[in-house]
Amino acid sequence: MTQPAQVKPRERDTIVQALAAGVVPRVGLQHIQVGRAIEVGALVKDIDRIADGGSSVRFIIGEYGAGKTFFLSLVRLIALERRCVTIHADLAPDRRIHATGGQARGLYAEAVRHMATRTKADGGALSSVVERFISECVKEAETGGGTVEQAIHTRLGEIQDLVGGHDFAQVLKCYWRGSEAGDDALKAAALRWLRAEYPTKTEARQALGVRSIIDDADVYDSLKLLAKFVRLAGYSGLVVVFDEMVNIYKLQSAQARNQNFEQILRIVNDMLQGSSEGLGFIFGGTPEFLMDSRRGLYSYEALQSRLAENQFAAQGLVDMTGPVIRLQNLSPEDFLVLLGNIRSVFALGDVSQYLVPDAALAAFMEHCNKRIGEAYFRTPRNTIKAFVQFLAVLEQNPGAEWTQLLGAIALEQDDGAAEEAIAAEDDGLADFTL
Amino acid sequence: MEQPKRLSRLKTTALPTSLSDHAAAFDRLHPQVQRWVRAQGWSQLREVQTRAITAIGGHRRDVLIAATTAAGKTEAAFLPLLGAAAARQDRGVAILYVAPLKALINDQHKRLEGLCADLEIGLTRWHGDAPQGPKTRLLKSPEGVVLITPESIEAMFVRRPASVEALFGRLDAIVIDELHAFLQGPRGLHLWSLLHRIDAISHSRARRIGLSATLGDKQHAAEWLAGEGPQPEIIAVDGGGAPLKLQVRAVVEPPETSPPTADLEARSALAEIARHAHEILRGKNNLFFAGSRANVEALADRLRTLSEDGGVPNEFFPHHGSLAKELREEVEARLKEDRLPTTAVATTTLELGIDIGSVHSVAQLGAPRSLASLRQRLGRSGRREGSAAIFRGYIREPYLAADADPLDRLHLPVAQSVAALHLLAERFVEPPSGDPALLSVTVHQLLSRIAERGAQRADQLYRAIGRDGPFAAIEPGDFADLLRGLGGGEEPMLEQAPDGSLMLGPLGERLTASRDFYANFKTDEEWRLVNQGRALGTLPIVNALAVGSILSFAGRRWRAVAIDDPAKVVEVVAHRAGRIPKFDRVSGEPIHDRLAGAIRDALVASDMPAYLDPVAAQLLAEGRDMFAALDLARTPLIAAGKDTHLMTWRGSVANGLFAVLLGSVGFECETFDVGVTLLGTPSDEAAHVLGALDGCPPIETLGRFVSNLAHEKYDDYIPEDLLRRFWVKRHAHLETDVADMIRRIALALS
Repeated sequence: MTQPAQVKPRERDTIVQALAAGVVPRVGLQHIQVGRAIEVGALVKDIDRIADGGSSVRFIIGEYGAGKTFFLSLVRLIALERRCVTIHADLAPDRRIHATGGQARGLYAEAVRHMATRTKADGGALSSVVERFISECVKEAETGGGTVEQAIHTRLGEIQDLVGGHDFAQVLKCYWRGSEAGDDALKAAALRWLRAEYPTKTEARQALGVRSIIDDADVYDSLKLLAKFVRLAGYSGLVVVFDEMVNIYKLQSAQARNQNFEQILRIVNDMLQGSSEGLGFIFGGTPEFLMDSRRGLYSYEALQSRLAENQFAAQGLVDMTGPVIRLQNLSPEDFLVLLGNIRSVFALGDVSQYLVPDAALAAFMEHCNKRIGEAYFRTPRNTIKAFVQFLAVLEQNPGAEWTQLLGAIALEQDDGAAEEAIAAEDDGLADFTL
Repeated sequence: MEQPKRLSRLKTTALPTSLSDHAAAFDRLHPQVQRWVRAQGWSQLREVQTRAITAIGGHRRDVLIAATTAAGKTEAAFLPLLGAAAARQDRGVAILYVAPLKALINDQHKRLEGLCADLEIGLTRWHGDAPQGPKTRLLKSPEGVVLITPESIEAMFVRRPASVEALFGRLDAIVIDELHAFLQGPRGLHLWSLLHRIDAISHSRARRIGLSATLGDKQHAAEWLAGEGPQPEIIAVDGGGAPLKLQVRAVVEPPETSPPTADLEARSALAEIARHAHEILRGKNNLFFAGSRANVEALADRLRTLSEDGGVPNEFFPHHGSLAKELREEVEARLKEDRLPTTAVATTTLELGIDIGSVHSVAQLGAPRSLASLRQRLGRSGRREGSAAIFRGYIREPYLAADADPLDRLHLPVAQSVAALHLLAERFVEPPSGDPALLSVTVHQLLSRIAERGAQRADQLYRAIGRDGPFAAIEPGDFADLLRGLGGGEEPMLEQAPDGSLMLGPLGERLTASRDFYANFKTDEEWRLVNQGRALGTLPIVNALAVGSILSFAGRRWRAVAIDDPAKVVEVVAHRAGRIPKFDRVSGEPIHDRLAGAIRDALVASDMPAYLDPVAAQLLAEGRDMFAALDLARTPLIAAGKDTHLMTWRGSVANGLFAVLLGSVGFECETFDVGVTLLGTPSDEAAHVLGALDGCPPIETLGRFVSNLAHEKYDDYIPEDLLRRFWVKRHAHLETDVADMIRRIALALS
């Protein structure tokens, strides 16, 4: 990146704020992304295939802080650019792929709440997707004659044959009736149903007159429906991103883990066989989620054989045709470029406004290397955080010398539990190892 | 046949409540509750109810209500609480009632049904045998009153972690019935931890109301109840309980003939006891506690044979830990159904596991050993209004041949029965001591918490479990050692994710998935004695056991040469032959110092309790004569041929420790209930050596010799070092005790 791109001031603030907090910024990823060209290329191909009515599944595997979330966000942005709809959610103890106590419905609801399109990249795009579908139907009714409900009915013809398709169509008709009659409550109820937020069938029946709800058992089938629907609404496909898959590895019952793996196997089979149109899944997880032979994906025989990596792709050789992509660590050169990009974001892309000279970047890396060793390449989160703070201080204190500041930078080892503040108590158990 | 005599009771001491108090308390009640009270036809509220209504309505603090059975405690707690629950706006269950037995929950359900219906408050039973429909309804819309066992709370945490908060997150009150049953032992620790966990998910701490029979140490019970909360108000009302009927029968074994004749067995004391019990217990529901499994089997077999010989249906069934669960449950079901008269013949240690409510009478083979269990057992009898609690003690005494051991001539079992019943009248209950189940319950709660909340870091787990109340005895270092122990081995109980959080390992998953997981108490456990590959039989061992310990079994002495704690096997070799004291010593319960002292007092005293049958009275008189003849008021030593009995008049724990000490300095010795026998040491030599003992070595040193450390359900998974460390902690206070004992013996001998 010799010629830095222009950065808008609003973008700059968002990026700086996010990086300083150790999270992935929602915008402007292209300004900081470095390396991983092969991996990105592979995912771009996947998205193209989805947009062409194909299907795909990928497991993005990397250590804590290796940049999985960053990578997944980038892929989502690319998907949005290709006119796909994306939905995404992090798994959690109360959100998983298979469950019987509402946790699967919870995952679906969370993902659909985060539905994004190019114009609504921040999420909450469900209503605009529905609106777009309805307005297509209205146009069709106007040109072809007949009622809007009939148009909805014909358009959703192929959906209605699928599992749960009939009620899905029914709910969309309700939405139309609501918007026609100015009944916002009915519209909201329809959206609520689509977001799987009805806990019981009774409530859904009272509000919408449908017999079913999207429940734990229907999550995958509903995603397939949703994929068909977004294509009917004029988008090119649906990309589903589930991150923090390690939560399945952390389930405390072998039975519960296996049921989740079974569901994943169903998805993998369907996606690899291409039996679903315009639908792609991307799962993010740490290596133990994949590799652990007792509680990881590999503990499930059928998945291990499908996901086993190409044994020839070792020692720097890569094969991007398998469903598993391991995020390679950033090389020192990549890192240097990354720091340069951050410096450039700070300066809004204006070379003359750089806060520190090139020498400072090399010195900063040298400092990190000395402090926590080569681990900082594997887990860039904290290094970036420290660098952003370093630049922020220089920016706000024009008199300060970078050479002096450098020695004062403290780096923490990334322990992967960044979201959770550890109460500092001296019981010696915080860093316990078996 | 003579009727059981009535034991004199102490006078009540509480201040009587005045009429205006009663009226004021009544006025405080919800109008619907007042209507219900009137409909019951009660002339006025009872004292305990008046005081409880005033306290519960008057403040938000915890309340401990101690009163005798059938004093109206349940209503005392529920009348004011239900009134408040009827006016409640919050979602979620209002009152959680915890009881140790399903049978008790079913009784209370019947009792509260009408009142709850009047108030339009839901009332749901929640235990393993409760109907499913109401439970499902409760899950959908949590409200009202839930009656539950600790084990079902545990199951809810493990199986429905998401529902627990919706159900119990906004409780007004937690009522704990039979609180005295929870003050000691694994089940109590378990409930303590569960209550702590309920508090942790609650918006604000629910007040706790404890219901208890009259307690030994009310202050301790109050502290247990409060947990982390402020001091509860104690409402204690004495008297008004069921009258108590007691009888102790002694039967002397027939003289041994040689060669033994075929009818010896039929003439044995056990056969005689069975004949009496068969006649007297038939036709009613009873519990017959018989000590060891061998006793249970022998007795149940005799009782069954008697039924068959007499051509009457058998009503006597054995109930012990090595019987199939189905068989045990069948007996319990028979007792609960209350259609056919049934007597369960059970081992002493299984009593927590017998889930039945009330019986007509309680019988026991052998002298009572623990006042807490005696009370517990008696509490199962005489629960119906107007009926008395009945206790029948059966004592076997050996036939005194010319060369009988002098210890047998003291008739200690009869003296012990008298001592125990005397302490019962004095309302003595063994004070709680450091609980041996602490580590085992910690393991259980660790697994349960991970199953509930998913993977957690060691420090989070420690903060959640290991810091409060009784669990505070576990230091961070102990906790780390415990975790490491659980994380090791072929099939680890815990494993660690790369981010450091702890998860259930294969063993942990297996244990938490099993239905046995919810209960934290273990069924009775006995040790297997093996001699040169031949199994001799099983017996319960509670005293400290070390290599070199001497055990009496099947009429002989045996020396322990190898001890396998996890497998509960002792490899023994025959000890030199010789006559040994024959009194019935097999039991799974330790006796307390106070009881040991009371045995001595019973032998010194001269009054003859009315509840002793003529044989027992005769034997007590003989024992007293022997006590005087041996000059035991002054000397602690009894010469018995080549051996010497040292009378410490102390409880099992002190004697066990003393025996380990003597073993460590080269003596061969065996413990009995109130002393230690020095084998192959004549009394003059014993006096010499004991006089020269130089205090008690550090407990850590003695702890190294002890081999039977695993007693509780999860002890087998805990590193031995850690178990030993906690054994030492629990016995640390005995160091000065034993030193003192040695000094007094030396003084008596000088």
